[in-house]
Amino acid sequence: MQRPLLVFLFFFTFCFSVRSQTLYSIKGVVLDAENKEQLIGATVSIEAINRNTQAGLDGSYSLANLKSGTYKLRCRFLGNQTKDTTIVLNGHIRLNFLLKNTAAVLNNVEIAGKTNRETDASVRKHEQNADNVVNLISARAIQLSPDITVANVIQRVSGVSLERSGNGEGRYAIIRGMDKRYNYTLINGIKVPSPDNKNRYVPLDIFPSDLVERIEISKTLTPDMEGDAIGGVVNMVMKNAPEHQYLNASISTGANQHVFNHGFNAFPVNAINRKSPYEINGPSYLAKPEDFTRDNLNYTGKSFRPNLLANLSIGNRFLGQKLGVMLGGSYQNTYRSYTNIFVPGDQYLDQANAPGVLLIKHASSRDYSTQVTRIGLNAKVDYRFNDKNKISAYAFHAILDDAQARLTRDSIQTPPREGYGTAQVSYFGRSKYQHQSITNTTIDGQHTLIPGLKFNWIGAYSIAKSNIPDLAEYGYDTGFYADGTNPNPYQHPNKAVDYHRIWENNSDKDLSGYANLAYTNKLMNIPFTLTGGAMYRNKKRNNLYQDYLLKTVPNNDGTFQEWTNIYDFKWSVSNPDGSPENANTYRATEDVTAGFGMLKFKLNKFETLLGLRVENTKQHYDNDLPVTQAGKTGDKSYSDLLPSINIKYILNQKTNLRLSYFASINRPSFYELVPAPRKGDEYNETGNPELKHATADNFDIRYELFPKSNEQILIGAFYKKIHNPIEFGFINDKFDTYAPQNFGDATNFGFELVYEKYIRNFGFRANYTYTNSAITTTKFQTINKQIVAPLQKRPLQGQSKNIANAALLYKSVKQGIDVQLAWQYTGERIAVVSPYYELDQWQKGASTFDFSAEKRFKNHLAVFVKVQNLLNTPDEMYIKQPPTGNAAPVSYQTVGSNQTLASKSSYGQNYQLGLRYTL
Amino acid sequence: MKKSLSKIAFLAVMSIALAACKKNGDNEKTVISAPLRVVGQPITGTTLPLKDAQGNAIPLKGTMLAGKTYDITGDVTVNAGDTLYIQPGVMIQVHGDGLTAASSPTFYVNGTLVSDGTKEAPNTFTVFETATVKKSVGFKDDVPNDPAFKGYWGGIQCGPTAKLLFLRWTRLEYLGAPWGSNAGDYGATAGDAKFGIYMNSGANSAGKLIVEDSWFYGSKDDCIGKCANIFVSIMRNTFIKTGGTGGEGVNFKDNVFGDMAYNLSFGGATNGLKTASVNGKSTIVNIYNNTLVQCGFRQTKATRNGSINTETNTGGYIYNNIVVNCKSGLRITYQSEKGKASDTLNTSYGNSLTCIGRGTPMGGTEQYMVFIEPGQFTLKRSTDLNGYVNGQILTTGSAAGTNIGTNTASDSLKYDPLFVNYDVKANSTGRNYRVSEIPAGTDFHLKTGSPAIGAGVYPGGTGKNAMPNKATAPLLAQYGFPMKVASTGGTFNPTITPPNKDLGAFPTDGSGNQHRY
Repeated sequence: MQRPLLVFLFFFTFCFSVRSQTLYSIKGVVLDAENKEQLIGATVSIEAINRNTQAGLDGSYSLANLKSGTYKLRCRFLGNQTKDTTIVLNGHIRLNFLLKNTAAVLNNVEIAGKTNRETDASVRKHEQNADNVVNLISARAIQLSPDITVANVIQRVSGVSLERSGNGEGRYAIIRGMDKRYNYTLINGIKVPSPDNKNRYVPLDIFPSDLVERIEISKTLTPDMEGDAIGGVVNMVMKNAPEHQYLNASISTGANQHVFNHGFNAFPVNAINRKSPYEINGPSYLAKPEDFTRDNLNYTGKSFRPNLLANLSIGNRFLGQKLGVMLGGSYQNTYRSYTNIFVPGDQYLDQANAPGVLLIKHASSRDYSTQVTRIGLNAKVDYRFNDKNKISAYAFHAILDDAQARLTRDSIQTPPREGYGTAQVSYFGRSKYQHQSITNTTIDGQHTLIPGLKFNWIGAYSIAKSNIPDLAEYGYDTGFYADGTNPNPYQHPNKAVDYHRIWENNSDKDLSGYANLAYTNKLMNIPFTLTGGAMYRNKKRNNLYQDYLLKTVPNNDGTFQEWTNIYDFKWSVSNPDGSPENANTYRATEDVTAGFGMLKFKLNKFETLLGLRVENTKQHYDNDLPVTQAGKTGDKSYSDLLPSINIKYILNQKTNLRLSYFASINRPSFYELVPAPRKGDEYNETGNPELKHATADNFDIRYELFPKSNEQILIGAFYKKIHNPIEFGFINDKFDTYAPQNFGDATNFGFELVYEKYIRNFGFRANYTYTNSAITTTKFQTINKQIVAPLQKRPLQGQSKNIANAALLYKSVKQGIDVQLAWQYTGERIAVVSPYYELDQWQKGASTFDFSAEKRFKNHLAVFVKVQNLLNTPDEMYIKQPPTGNAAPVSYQTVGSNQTLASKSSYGQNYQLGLRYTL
Repeated sequence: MKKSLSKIAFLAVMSIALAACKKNGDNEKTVISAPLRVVGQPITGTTLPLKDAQGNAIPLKGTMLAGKTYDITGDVTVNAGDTLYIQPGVMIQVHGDGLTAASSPTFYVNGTLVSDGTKEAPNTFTVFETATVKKSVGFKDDVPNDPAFKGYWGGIQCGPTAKLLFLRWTRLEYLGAPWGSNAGDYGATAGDAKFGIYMNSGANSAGKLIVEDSWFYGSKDDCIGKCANIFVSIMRNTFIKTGGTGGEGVNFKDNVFGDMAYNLSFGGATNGLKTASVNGKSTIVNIYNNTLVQCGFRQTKATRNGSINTETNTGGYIYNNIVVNCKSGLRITYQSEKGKASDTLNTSYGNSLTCIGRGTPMGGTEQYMVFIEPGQFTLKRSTDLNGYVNGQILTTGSAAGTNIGTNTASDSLKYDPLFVNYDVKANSTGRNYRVSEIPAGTDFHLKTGSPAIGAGVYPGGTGKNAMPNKATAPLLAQYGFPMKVASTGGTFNPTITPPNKDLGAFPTDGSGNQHRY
């Protein structure tokens, strides 16, 4: 197996320890003269005897085995002035270097603009100086981490866990146990709509991590931030134009262990009709059986194929440093496959004189094969007219193509099944192809009107599109079982069943404008900044939906049609006109108007930022239902007053104590509001026009200690009271439809710890978050076949009580080696809220290990290796009750267990090996 | 108007005369003509629905007039609180092709619809025949081509505010057009076939579904389907060709209370009569004196049974039924693919006859037929007439109460009910059992010497004929047999025929089902 080899490799890499015999030694640290940041990788050399060393992760260096004598030492660091010192060595000495930042001497450039923002030290500084509670990750950390996408990166932040998509990729951030819906995503501070029509914000796995300069995660809001985050905000700051010519290119290949072992099921994506018969021929057309393609449901097993990933970023400044241009492109083509065990715990069985029990009806094994192609293009241009006026433009375009084959074997667990091998079995084959794209253009101006008065404005336009053409899943029934008319089990022939072909596409257009005016002055020696601003955003959604039901045609003698293959399958079109006048074809708009005022002042050691934000929301939808039906249009409007206060008590230069309160909201998305039934991946789904927006009061306290610039200890606690949180649960008599609902009020409190420590070439990062949320809702239960509807207290959906991350780093500047082993733990959490009492589906707590290493060479080249999911940790879900309702033992279950396995996916290890060129 | 009145009067007199001719004094009957009723305004336009200035259909209320033929060209809605009353002798032709929801009109009832046909002047809801929309002629067993299963129009769909749907001496044909965008309001999915009749009062006070002496011919899926939260009385009706490749004659879901009696179900795809509730809710429907013939063979999915079936949390008195040449006899379900355990506590059954005309072991090239499906709760009672030998009843585990018995194939003809004109043997062999069209002249009345004569429970009966009494069953005691859920008699209340001393829908005393084939 691969595992022992990797572990060996890991330890081997760690064995570069340097031992030396002592004569005399010079030790010390290299720091930036202004901000006291450690200058990792600064060179300290004694040219006369051809000796040199580099500062480690903690900024320290050491030159040993030196005879006594006089030495001329030179300390150099790119971006800082070189410093020469002559010493007389006649014993061990300590010598610290303070290097001046070269930027400080250029009077027309802000220092902040000159600092290399991509370093860890820089982001730590940013965290310390920020007005609110933030966590940051630098591009350097991103590059070093074993993560391909931004989503994977951010789970390294304290209190952040991930919700994975159908193919095992992390997609959305869960901040402090708050479901993805409570967090928003910004790109360069601007909201970008999601191409995924179910979610409001852009999925993080669409962004290659290489294009990102840094990621900021704010856990508290200030009045100048949009108010719809209860968990937090993820802001991706894209790479800026550098001060000097910049080139970073990498190419890598890799593989998924599961694909390596089991191959890959492929279907021809080209065979998919991108438009439905309705769209091609118009509304009066009646679709014929031959209008539906067959090739796209024909699967061929392919052997292993390598992944390909490539990145290129180029940047420079022109016109006397006034014009900066940064261009980035990325391409990823990856193959993944995995097997999922799916045992939906959605059935319930009444009992005489006792509470009802869990009944398992379906137990499936589903083979997923996914090919994902991502293309990202990124351009950032800024022009500095002078030190008072700067304009920058940013454009981003991303394409995500996802072709997924899903082959299912479902065995029905209820009678006539008697045990293993005697069940009704259904086979399914599903082809899902999704094309998503996002285009975003932002123009940003910053102007100093008069000294102390700054004006900045942003205009942004985004289009996000998703197209899922011809989502189709054929099926046939078979099995070896007794069917009631014959008491002995026998092999049943393959019987074709009816199936659907669904076309759905949507586009979201966002137009937004922001304008802020900030006035800075002093009043009675108290420095203050008064800021006021306004924003407006118009969001338009266009959603098209066509669902055709294809019915199996019986044989002429009235017997059923046997399934042989997709090409021989005869069907008739049950609704040849498609879905005219359906609620899922809709147009929706959302207008958000907001204004804020905030005051920031510093009184002794107290830095206070307080203010008020007003947000007005208008939501409207209009679908294709005839006027004679209820719910053709809907309107919702609400205003929220969102006060907030952030107090930072600066105990000393290295220590802050922060206190904050903010009010925030959470809006239902269009998908959640429009009352349209549709078929989801696992369950039937529908919107809920009665859904209320959630409001929350959030309290935070945090103690921050920055012993050294890239070391930190953070201890924080939070409390949130959420009114009407939106969660998904099952509705209808049969509880067969999954819909967003307001279950009541919830509380959420917890604390978090962050610790980072660097010793010479080794670093250690760890964080831990404890979250305790509670919501009490009515559940369905029967006792003696009568409904009793008890209350059940549970955590919020998606919220883990325990989240922890740890990373071990090794960095040798001299040898050009970086190694990281990262561990992430997400404690158990509710994945699916069951309508039934105590039958929620819990995602089991899981540890994952990721490994990365990089070795740089003199000629700007570097080789890197990344391994994700080292131990192939399965993703498992359980119901904390046994399937008592089943007479026969249920498939995939551990005998005697007091819980039920509801889902299990093993995604396999992902390997990546690549070459990087940096100039 | 006057002409049809006099015609009705003439027919009434004639029937009195005919009834009077019968010699048996016990069977003396008096029929007195009812006054012609008008509810609200008469509906004089015959092409409906009318459109308003915006082109939207105007809901219908008032009275459809005797003797008239109405053409239905679009969906018809009866608003909440409104009544649509149909006088005897009305012909309703629905212009539908069954291809799309838009081209297959449907009656949506949110108030009250009463189709008040009489034996002499029945009402008809049928499809308007065109060059492409053909009626079913000569199709015995041809699912792909038989127009009976085309689902030309959308039937009668009753929303949660509907108070009453009453069909008396009414013929409904060619039901089951596809659902459109409003499917979700009726518990369905777009593209699915509509049930011929659907009624669900939801959380509102229970509406009433009363269907008496009516004919149903041809439905794509269930004929009366998945009704819930209502009171029912389904008496003396005929169901023919219900369900194409699946579908029940009558299918009741949760919170349904009432009776199904004296119905004939012939050639139903799955079950003729079925009840199945949901978790935590009861349904109690008495099923008695029904005759089910040649049902269950077009359903190709397993474990669906094929005559009378009670599933999840349903019960009732189930007596006096005759099941002939069906896929299987009565099933009191323990579990199936779709259903869960029926309410055995509130179930009482017996005094029924199940016959399989085939004298050879079931199976082979022919489809299976069994008396009772083993592995379920159903037992052969001492008062039952069928060839099942009960197995040991399990007493432990979640399958407690079930038994795996054996079906004695050679017992086939032993339980021939001796119908007046129907050969149980000939109709069970080859592919004859799949025929879903009743041959002309077939008569399911009982010949002298039939074991079904005098085998039933009935008021006043003693011994094996005594009305059942299950003291331990609270819901049976509460609702009674026949059911006490609605007042009876008159135009807007059901006319209940109590259980007969003979089995089946056509007892020898001439009561029960009045239809001729």
